[in-house]
Amino acid sequence: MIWRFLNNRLPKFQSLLPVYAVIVFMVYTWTIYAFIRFLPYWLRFLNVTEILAIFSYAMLSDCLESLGFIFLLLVSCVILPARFLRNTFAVRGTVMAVCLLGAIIVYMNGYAKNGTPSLLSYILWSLAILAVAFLLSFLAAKIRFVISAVEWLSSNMTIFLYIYIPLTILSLLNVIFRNI
Amino acid sequence: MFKMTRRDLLKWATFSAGTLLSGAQPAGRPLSNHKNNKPNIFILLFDAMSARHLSLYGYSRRTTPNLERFARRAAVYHSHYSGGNFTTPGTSSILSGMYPWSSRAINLGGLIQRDLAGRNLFSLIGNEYYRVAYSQNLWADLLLRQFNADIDYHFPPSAFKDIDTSANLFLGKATSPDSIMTFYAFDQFLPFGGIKPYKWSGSTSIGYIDNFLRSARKTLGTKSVEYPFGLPFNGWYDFDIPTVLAGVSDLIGKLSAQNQPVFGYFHLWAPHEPMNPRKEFVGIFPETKILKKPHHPLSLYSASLKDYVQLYDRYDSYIAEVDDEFGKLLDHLESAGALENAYFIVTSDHGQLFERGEEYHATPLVYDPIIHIPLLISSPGGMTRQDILTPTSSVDLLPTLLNIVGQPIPRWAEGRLLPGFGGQPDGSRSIFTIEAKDNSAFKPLTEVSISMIKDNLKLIYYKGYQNYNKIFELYDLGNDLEEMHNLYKKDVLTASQLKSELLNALYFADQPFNR
Repeated sequence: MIWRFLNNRLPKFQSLLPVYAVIVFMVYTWTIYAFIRFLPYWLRFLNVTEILAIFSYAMLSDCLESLGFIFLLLVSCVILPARFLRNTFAVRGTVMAVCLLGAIIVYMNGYAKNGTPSLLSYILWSLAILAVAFLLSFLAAKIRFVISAVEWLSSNMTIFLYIYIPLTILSLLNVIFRNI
Repeated sequence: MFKMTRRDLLKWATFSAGTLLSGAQPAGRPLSNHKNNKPNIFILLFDAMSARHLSLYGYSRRTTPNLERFARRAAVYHSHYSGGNFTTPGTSSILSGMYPWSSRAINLGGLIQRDLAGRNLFSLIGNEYYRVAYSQNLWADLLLRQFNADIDYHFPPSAFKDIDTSANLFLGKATSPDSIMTFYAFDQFLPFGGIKPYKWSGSTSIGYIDNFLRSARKTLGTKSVEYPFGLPFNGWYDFDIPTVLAGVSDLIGKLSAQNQPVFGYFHLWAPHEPMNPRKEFVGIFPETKILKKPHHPLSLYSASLKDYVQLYDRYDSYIAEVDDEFGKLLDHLESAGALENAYFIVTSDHGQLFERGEEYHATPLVYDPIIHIPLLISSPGGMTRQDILTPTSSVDLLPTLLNIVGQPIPRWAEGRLLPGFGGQPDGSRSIFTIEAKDNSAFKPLTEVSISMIKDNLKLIYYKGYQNYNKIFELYDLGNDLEEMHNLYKKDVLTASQLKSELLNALYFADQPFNR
């Protein structure tokens, strides 16, 4: 009974994969970008093996982070009526992922320049992001052009899974090797 | 504020039970019942404590009555200098007995060159001693992590307090197998927090959550009636000095009662900035006169004399609080008889600089207040004060302690036996301080500030800075401790001799990296 309930509430794998690919792309690419920013600092005193170790830990963290993010979307699928998210998961899931992760990335850049914000502006920003993400994801599934564009984008993003998943496996092996 | 952590530590120290250790930390080894006549050795390091702000050394404000009390039973070094002007080189000089240009612990949060990591006090003192280490400063703790194989029990940075998640998500386990790289990944790169060169988070979600917690901390603050400036903060967590020092004090007391001799290194954050003294120490000192000094071309800031008055007040009050807690520690150790069979050492890793436009110690400058640090050593049962005026260096502690415990002094050690502990005052000796944080640790030094002190003379060399390259300054510290009168162009002969010696020393230090 629970299985049937979940089966009715959770999206199909074909819809899930492109959304996960978008999340993986954003999470991993941000980490690699930040990693490159840090690289000159580490190169001053760490050797290549050590820098690869940091990279491996970061990749594993990204793996958990992307799984956590897709898990949250799946929980939303279960909670919300099927017509809101489950039936249009590829489009609305992608838009939500892009909006939420994109907003965080924009925020990161702002923080890097302006320092830690006040709690109020932080909360307002977070609520605004959520509202915009919900609104855009709602609108996205209503406009045919947007639907096809988002589907095209997310399905093309799956190519990054072929890069980032092996990278994660190699990172896992490196971490296991360093900790045994 | 004491919670389980501290009780566990006390239980552990009292019973030295392997079963307790096995549940607490993987790298911990139990104390043995082996008995010998060797004295305990405890190093208590107060981070960023400039000798120039201690009444012990003649500062006009009475900041350190308790250090003065301790000095009645100790050798007091009046011209003691750090090997560097911030944590990494300063601490590595003490623990490795090598100058930073040899150990290559020169960078912010850097490490000792890997093949030299075995050259450390813990290893050389040997396993006859039970070797304990604790650092509240995460950068110093990184160095301790390099020595994990030689430390019997390495306390995590949060040992003497509750882990405060409000300021830190991922305070790494100091003794996990890959603890150094997990620090760089989880404590420095992925979250926003901590002390690091770039305000970037390597992870979107972790960064966002971490920044939320920091933003909450910033907005809600930690100010209270007791702490008008907020709680002391080490970049990763809030703490209060009484809790930490009481924890260390209890631990030293318990360790002293063990059969096996103990070597303990305790690196405390205070009086490092942010300088947040308790209310009872705020505004306790009368106004002091601060000498106006010219802005230095390499200064990163442009603080005014008014700013310096405030910084002096905060720093001096904070030192007074640290000293007050040190007094309680001293009372406890005296009443427990812990000083009767112990060498007890009080020192610092570097000082602070509130002059010439600079604030604190993130600077290429190496003037006296930032490198002149306290050193006091009390011998077992010692009851007399001995004042040592000759210049000494933090690299001298390693050979001195090895001599005390009867271990051979390795040839690579760059320090000498301290006067009063087998060494003789030597006016012809040169003492170096090296600041090279922006250099590669694997190549010759290209952008560096070096201070060389010989007798009362001090030569400073700035090399490789933009618009400030190959500049020398010469001061007579005997007559000009404030370093106001540059004699480099006036005393040409002396300057030339010292310059030649300094450049030679740098040349030889760079030799292994000239590939």
